Amino acid sequence: MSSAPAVPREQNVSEPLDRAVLERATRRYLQMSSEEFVEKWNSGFFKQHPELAHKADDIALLLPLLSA
Amino acid sequence: MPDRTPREAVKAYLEPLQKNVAIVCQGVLRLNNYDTVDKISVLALPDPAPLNGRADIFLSFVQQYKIVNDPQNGPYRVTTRYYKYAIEAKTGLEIFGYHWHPEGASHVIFPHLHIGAEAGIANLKVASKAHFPTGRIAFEDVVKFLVDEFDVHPDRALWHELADRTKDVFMKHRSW
Repeated sequence: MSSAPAVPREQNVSEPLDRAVLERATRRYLQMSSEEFVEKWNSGFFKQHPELAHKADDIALLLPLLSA
Repeated sequence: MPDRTPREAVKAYLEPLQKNVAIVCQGVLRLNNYDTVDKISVLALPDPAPLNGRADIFLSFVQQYKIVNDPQNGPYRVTTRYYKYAIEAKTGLEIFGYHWHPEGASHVIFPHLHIGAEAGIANLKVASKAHFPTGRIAFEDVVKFLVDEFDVHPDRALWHELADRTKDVFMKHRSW
């Protein structure tokens, strides 16, 4: 069992998500930049590549960060 | 969960999830909208977080949510749109994951379980592609599963009671 943090984690939640999280996710899971991902997502590329579609759907959960 | 202001509704949505995340890892959930109603918003761990006592496996958590008007109970509440709760290996590949993404590139729109490539059953070729249907999965159930079956060390006394309590609230207020 690890020691308790100085600030309870559930109170340390004010730092917002930003598009850097999307960038890391596209590189981690699809080895591409977020710009390339968005371009392919918008063009329907992933619908033509079912082997990537599921990962793309997971990453697409983060797309609202672009409009923040 | 209904509340008086959008911000209070978001806090009521976030707090139990963060408490449950804190049972199994050091990750801190972040979100991108406390105030704007009807905006598609994101709650996530910024990066997969190593699990307590199991530094070899990582929790990935993403939800989309919206603050919505709830005139009968609220006036505001938060509703979950999509979720992904996955356990990954250091490679970034999934061991297993609970997913629900009712709109997107995949044809699978029902909540489902994936057995990932890192689960060690690669000879069962269907497994990493298959979408095993599930009902809606409460994150609390994932937490219990991780502690009971994956030897993750809970970082709280009375963690089970906490998970039961927050799940009761979730079950009471969920819309489906």
